Amino acid sequence: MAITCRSFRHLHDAYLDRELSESQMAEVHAHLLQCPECQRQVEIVRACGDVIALDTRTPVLTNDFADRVLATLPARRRQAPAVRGAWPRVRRWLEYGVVPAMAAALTFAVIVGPGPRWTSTPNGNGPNEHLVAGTSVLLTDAVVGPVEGAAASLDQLGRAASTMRNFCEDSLKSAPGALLDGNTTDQEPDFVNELLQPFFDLFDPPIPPRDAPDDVERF
Amino acid sequence: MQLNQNRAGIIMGMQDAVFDSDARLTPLEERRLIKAARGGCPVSSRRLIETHQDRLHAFVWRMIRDRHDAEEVCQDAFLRAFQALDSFNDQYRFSTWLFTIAYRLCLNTLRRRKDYSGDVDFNRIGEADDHAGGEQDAAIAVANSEEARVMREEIWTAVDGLSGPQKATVLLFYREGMNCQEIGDVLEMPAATVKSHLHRARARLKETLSAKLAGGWTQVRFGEMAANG
Repeated sequence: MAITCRSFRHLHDAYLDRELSESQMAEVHAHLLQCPECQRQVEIVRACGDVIALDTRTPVLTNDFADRVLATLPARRRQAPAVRGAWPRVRRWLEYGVVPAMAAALTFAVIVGPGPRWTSTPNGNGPNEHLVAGTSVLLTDAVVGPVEGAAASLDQLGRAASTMRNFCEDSLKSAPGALLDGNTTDQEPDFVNELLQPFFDLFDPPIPPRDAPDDVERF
Repeated sequence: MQLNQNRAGIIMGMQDAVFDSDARLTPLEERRLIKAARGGCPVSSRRLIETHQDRLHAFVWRMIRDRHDAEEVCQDAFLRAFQALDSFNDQYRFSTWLFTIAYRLCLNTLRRRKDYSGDVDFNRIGEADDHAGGEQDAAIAVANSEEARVMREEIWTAVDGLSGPQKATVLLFYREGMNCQEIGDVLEMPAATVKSHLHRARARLKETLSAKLAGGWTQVRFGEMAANG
């Protein structure tokens, strides 16, 4: 079906934006060849587009434009630089992740476990005392078992931390002095203690005394 | 056709590309600069400004047609963009956001003008030619002929007679090369609405310029020659 001037007005934008199919484009071309008025309309819009797109006649900004913009910007607070290195990140992980989680688990175990006895009512086997006993039985069956298992795991973790500490100390003692930036091998590295101190504060593992007097009995 | 010959002359006369595409930032570079600028890095802030200032100024100046106001609007647009940089959504390009702010400021400026009539002072445009530079050769001499100059003036007069959204659509479509979706992001309207604005702008330009150029370019040229004696 041949395109008329009326139908071309509906296709005009799509033709200019190349959104027509190949067959439609061919039909539009055929119409434009025969219709000077429609072709003129197309050329007017194309000329407008070219003039708008290619016109370089724009007043130039002053050379200090960027300086003036920056001068009006309020001073922004500089963000703290990202912490680099392994030890600070490990320490943060221990301080803010593992230690609080273990402390919470231990606290939970102490509270809900069969710990302190509740004071009984004046009449001995009153309802309160039965209630405490019943609650204690339920808690023992449902909670204490898993908590004891968790506590055992925590104890093992503490022993592993103690072993790691000893290993680190032994390694540092056997390292050449130059690797320690002039420090003697006899000096205990503070960062190891600092790193593992939270563990030991929590578990209080049995640490053999360093310089125990000879007269102390050992069990 | 005479129209085609003059159009070719106009195109030949505009030697310089509007944009230096090499100066545009890649999305990754832009994100890095914005992140650094958020932290207060002045070098990154300056780089962002210098990358976008010319394009933004060209758009704003053609919207409001006043050199002093255009520079103020550009400065205000950058200031607002940097002040709200923390809330900038990295999903969009910085230029899109910047143009959106500038477009709103342009509309405010146009509304404040009580005597805005859309007339263009082409003498001011002539002053900008001092910065264009370049040697005059035969092609440019032809392109800068009287008929080409008249045609440019008529076209820009017609463009300046469009409504704010229509004019912004036309400028972003032809100068910035944005598609309807991108223009919609800048003007904060659906792509279908942008398409409608573009259609109406083209229809208005055809109607205006068809009446002014009723007899083709030949009549315009002869008319100017007669006026000049």
